[in-house]
Amino acid sequence: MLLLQIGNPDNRLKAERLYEKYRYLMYSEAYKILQDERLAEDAVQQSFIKIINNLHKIDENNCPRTRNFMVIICVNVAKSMCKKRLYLNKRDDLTDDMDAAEITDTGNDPLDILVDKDSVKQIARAIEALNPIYRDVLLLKRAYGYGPKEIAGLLEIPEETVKKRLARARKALSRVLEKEGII
Amino acid sequence: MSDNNIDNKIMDKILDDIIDEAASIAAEDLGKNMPEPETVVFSKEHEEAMRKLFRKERNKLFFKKVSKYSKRAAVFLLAVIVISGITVFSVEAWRVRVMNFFIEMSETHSDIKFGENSAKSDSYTSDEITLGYIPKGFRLEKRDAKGSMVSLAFKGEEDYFVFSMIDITGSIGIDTENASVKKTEINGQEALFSSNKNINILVWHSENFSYRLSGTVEEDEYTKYFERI
Repeated sequence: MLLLQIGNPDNRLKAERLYEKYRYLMYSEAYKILQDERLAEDAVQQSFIKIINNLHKIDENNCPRTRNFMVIICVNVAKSMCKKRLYLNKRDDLTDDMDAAEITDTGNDPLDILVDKDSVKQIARAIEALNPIYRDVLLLKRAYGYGPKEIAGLLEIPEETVKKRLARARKALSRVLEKEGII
Repeated sequence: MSDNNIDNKIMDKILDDIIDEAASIAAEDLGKNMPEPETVVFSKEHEEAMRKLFRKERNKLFFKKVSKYSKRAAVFLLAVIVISGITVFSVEAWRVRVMNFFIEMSETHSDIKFGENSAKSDSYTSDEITLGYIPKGFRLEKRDAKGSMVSLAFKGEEDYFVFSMIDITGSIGIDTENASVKKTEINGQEALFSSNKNINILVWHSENFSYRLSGTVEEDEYTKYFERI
């Protein structure tokens, strides 16, 4: 029975199947940031090293969600590589302060999106409009179910930073909902 | 807790629920709206690195599975041992209980069962059964085998006795009405001796069989037979 289960030819790794499916997309997103073919390949590799043990919450069949997850990880890896490459890898709290300043400076203010709408779909759009720094941690937690520690591992940031970003993202959304009278 | 705190908690919960639902929709929308990428020809180094990564992970998974199934096999084996132990113990306990029950009910009871749930032995012939001790002057008069029960009838000048042996799953009937019944011991096993109107009956059992001796022979002689079966 053991040999049958282990020797199943269809028993490819989930990560392998996801790689086959999303490698071009991941590469393409990484390339946009890094502007270097080899570095983009490295970003894909590093992404898989990170996610290979964290795929239990990823549903292979739900393509758009999974696709978004793969891109979140790869883009963050690419950004991290870019920062290192450009010697912009500042202290986390300093980076976070910068992130905080960016929250209202994305050009897509969630408040504007919700002016005339109050459904969950519009709140989803508000989330989509958040600065990716906040949006990614928020989605990893709320949409994919990862805990702060797991997110910290996936995005290569301290757990404390994850918590800060989550709190700020929530606060931003809360302001939107309050303004719209939803809560 | 003040009303204000309760309100805040409710509001927080509502907000969390809304965000959870909206986040799932957002994740889906973002994935849908991504442009289809162009096919890329990856470098050989990259493909090799990826193969290596997956191979390493497969090996890790393989050993994890081996370890998991080994543990399951060990647990299964342990369970078999434990269950076997419990079964033996239960049958043994059950026999003792039956024996005790019989003694208590001996005035009216005349049937002893040693274990309906026990594994049944194959049938055998009377030729396979011999007694290691036959009192002087006794000779075998009759052999009888029926299914899993064997009877050997011995006759002396004045006395007689019948030795019966049956699979432990079977039952042995004895007449205990107005009989004097007592517990005794043979080879460390509990046995039952019944005496009524000069007819003595001894019932005993081993692991797989139950035995009965009935006749006019004295109790001491019976014990000698059983000890040498």
